[in-house]
Amino acid sequence: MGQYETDVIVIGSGFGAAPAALRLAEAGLRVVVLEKGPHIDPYRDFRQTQDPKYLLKYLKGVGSDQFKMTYAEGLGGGSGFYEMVSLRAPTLAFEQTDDAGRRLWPAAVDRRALDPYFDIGERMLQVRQLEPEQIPKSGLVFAQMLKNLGYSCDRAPYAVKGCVGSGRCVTGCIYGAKQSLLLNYIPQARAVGAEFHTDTEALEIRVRPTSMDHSGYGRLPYQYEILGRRTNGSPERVRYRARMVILGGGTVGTAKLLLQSQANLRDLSHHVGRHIAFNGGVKTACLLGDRFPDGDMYTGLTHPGMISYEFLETRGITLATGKVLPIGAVAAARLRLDGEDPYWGEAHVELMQRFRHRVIALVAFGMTPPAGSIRKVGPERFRVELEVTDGLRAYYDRTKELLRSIMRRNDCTPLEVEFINREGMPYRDLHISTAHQVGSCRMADSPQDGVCSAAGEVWGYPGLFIADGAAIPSSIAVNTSLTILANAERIVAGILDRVVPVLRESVPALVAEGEASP
Amino acid sequence: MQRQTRERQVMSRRLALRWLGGLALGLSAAACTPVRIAFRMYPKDFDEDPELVDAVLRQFVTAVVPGMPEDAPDLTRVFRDDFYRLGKYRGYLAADLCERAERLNGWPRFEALPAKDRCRVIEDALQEGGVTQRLYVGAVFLAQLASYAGVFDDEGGCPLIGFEGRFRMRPLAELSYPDPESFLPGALTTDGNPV
Repeated sequence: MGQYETDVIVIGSGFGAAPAALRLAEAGLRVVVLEKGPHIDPYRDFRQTQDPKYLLKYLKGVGSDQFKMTYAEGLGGGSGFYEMVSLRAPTLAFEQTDDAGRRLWPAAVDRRALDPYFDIGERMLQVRQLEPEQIPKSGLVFAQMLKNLGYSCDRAPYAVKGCVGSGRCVTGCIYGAKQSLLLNYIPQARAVGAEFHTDTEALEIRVRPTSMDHSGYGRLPYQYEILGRRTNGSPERVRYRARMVILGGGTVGTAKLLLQSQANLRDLSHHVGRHIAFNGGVKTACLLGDRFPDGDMYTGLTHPGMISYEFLETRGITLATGKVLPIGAVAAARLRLDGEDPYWGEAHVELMQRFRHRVIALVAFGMTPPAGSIRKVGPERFRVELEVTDGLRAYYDRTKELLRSIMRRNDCTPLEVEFINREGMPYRDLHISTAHQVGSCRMADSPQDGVCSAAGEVWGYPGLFIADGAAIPSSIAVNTSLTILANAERIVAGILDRVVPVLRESVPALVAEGEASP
Repeated sequence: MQRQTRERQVMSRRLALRWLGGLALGLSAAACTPVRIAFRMYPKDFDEDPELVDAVLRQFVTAVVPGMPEDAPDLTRVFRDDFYRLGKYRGYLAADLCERAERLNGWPRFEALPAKDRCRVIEDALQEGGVTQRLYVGAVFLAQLASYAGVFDDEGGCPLIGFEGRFRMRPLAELSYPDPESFLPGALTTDGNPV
């Protein structure tokens, strides 16, 4: 068994984890990052392909007939495969309440509190609002649809520099234009000494009082032990020990790890795995009317550059258009011009021949309640569930009708879109598929309401922090990556202020050694 | 005595019903898809002659995605690739297509039927329900996935639907319109972020 002792263990390497790796290594701590997925060199490993074998190497899913969450496993987490649109969570998102009228977010966390950290994240990812001439055809057509109806639409900010407009962003940018974490946080963290152990899965957290635990230590009374295994086929088991652990494996990964550690972390909140929010994504598509010029599903920025906040205040939703490569179109849904048409054969080919230039997909994201959950049903076996309420059904019906109404009022023809599972069978009931899941181990003002504090520290476990999407307590109605990143920067800033001085004082010898010792 | 006789009659009726039920179950099991697949209850040719299977499946794919060139080298590769779970059922699928072709058209060579009749055969299976329906839905799904997305040809993509596979460099101006401002309505923010 490989054994390592270090100052800080960061689990995961995506938007919630990378800030901790960089900032804590910059502060002089020995940082070891455990990433379940493989190492990725964006110039060597990314491919412009539709091959499912390639895509499924990195993109994973967990779900049920009602609710499916997609996430990435690989160095940089989802950042290698996201659409680069980098938006700040709107003020309204922080004001959401539960059924009892209690605010979902901790009192200390709102847009104003996060803004300085949004600034940091935007600088790191080189986020810029698109210039009009950078907006791809599909984005312009979408903007025109809204303009025709007197609605507003904004140019979106993107984390991209030197884009060539290949439109293949979601399979990984081979040009180095997408500002994934592979180009900033991760190399910078490496440069200041952080070690990245890829192909290494954390399976379980154990805790033990440290022998150095006496008065004066105060905030870091425990040593944490991470038991793990290699995921590259090696039978090697590994054990890592540290006073501080930052959980950044994502909404699914962090929940799974804590659920698997419940027997060891006996004071862990019963909220682990519950309250998953999913940004209420509603998707549909239409055939463009004659008065519109062509869009282009396959080239230009993948996310087509425009977003509308027209209905944010009134309905709690934002609108955008999605660009979909052929594999996305076929694997997600049966498309039909008419419900009577077959979803294969001549009629379908004719539709697919028009798909690239004459079909536009509209997408709404909304502040839907945190109704999803993941729970452990056996050793390394988990079940995903969703509480489908009448309110949630009404939201989907209402929002879909709004999208179709926008299409019809523009003389476009809504398509019949029937979502399907991995065997090609249609879902019988409402099915929600998302890559925007957050909140499985949410922050809260008290242990009664969440898993960790506003500072990200797991209630009852000093030195154990949650910094990823799992801590975000609500849907935010926009793409989640920048908000997860900003919140991680905020949590790490708190750790640097309050915890690192204690760590330095308590384990000076460890800090002085400089590198993790096998 | 009368009561005993009636009980005996009831018993024998029950037994007869059970026997008939068992017979029906056995007959349906013998005919049902999972049993036929598990016990390879179809002509051996479809397990032993890959060329026959390929010929049948080529005509299946061109019925599902008409316009795909029937001599394309990767046309049926998705059914031979064990990564896709349908691969191990390809022999049965080909045999079933031919059996349905015979039943519906009196001619056991699916691959020789005109496109319209091949579609009728596929439709017949899709309407059947149960495992047969799942098998055919999966086969249609894989045929579409492999064809439209060009999953085995990053360079070629799928010319049928204008998907060119990997990106060929083009000037950015070609990817947008020359007068983008004319498309844009008023904005609610100064920097693209919601307030």
